[in-house]
Amino acid sequence: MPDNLEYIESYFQQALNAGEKQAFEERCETDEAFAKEVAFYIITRETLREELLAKKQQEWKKLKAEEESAPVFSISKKSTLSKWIMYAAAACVLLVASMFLFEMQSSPQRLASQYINNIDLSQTMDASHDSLQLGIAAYKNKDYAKALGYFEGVAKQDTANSDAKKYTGLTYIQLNNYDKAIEQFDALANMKGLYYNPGDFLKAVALLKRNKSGDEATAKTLLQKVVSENESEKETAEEWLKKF
Amino acid sequence: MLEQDIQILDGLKGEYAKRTRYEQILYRQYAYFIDEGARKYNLNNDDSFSAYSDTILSAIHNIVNERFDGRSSLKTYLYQIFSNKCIDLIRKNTTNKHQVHKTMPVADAMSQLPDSTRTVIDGLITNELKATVRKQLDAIGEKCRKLLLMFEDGLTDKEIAAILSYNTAAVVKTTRLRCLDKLREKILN
Repeated sequence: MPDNLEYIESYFQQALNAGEKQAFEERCETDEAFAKEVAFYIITRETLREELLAKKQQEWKKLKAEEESAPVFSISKKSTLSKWIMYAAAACVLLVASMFLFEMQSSPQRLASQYINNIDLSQTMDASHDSLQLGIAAYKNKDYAKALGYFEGVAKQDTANSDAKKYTGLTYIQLNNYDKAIEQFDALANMKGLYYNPGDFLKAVALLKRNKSGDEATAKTLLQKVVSENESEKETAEEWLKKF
Repeated sequence: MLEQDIQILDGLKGEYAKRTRYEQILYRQYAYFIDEGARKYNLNNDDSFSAYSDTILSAIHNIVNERFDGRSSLKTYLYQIFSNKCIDLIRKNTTNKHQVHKTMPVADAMSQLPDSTRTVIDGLITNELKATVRKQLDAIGEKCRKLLLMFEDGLTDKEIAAILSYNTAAVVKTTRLRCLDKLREKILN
């Protein structure tokens, strides 16, 4: 009786109207054969879900093992008090040091340099794309030429991949090729439909780093645009504009 | 909502390949819950991992089906599910010592039924039935099994048609329901 199964599926997919729903529930209570079919449907879905979960768990266990074997990239919460105290102390030292550096280095060019140095590619990384992963690993190892090869390869193959454009641009900045970086961020800024698009902001960063005549003024205009049009990295742009 | 959350949600609602990538990103993002679960609920690491992976699967299911309204951050939302899963696991471990023949309530689907209907259906769900379903699922053929698993994974008939090269979503739906019917006949007749 596939019709019954379709009917049962419609109920659990919430595709029935209120009257149909009530009729379904009443039938479960009065028609034993139908109730058995509903029980069969539920238990089958549950069994499939368990099988699916087991399959996913295998995949995720592999990820867990990978992260454990590469502690440099892992973020985990430690439970012992002593470790917390150690971390808190380290955080205080870092905070004081960063406040000191922040006070010392507040020119627009230094702000841009700090931003680039502190950027963490793993925050938006694509976990299963091998080339992007390899590129990120190379970038973190400061092997920018190698990273560029990976990122440009992905960007060429998948022109809609915004991460590839962003990473390519950031790598060009690290290689001091600001013109190429600006090209990438221009292309990123022109991509439509992204929830997170730091194209304009990163272009401003690249301009500040290049620091040719007029670049700082253009960067300032771009940062103002980021703020006024509520673009990605708006908060950082606001902070920087106060320091200009 | 955090930019990062928005990106993850968008990725999970994307096409299959993108969704698979973002499942891994989501899994990694809050994997430290596993240690917290073990500590807070006194679970062993395997049980805490099990609760966490179950959490991720449920959250993905809700997100894909537009049942996550975004009123809390993804982290808060996941942690609530995770806490419930940990408590369920503790309860299940305790209950299983006393109940041999009854299976635990089937959470997701059963919760949609009103109390009186749930009581009727619950009375028909036993560990024996579950064992039979599991056994017969192995006997309905790899093609059927794959189709049913993909549907369970939240893929629409249209997406399945594209991945498995069926002509239309309607063909997938018919095939899928026939697979279920085949299974039903083996079990109920």
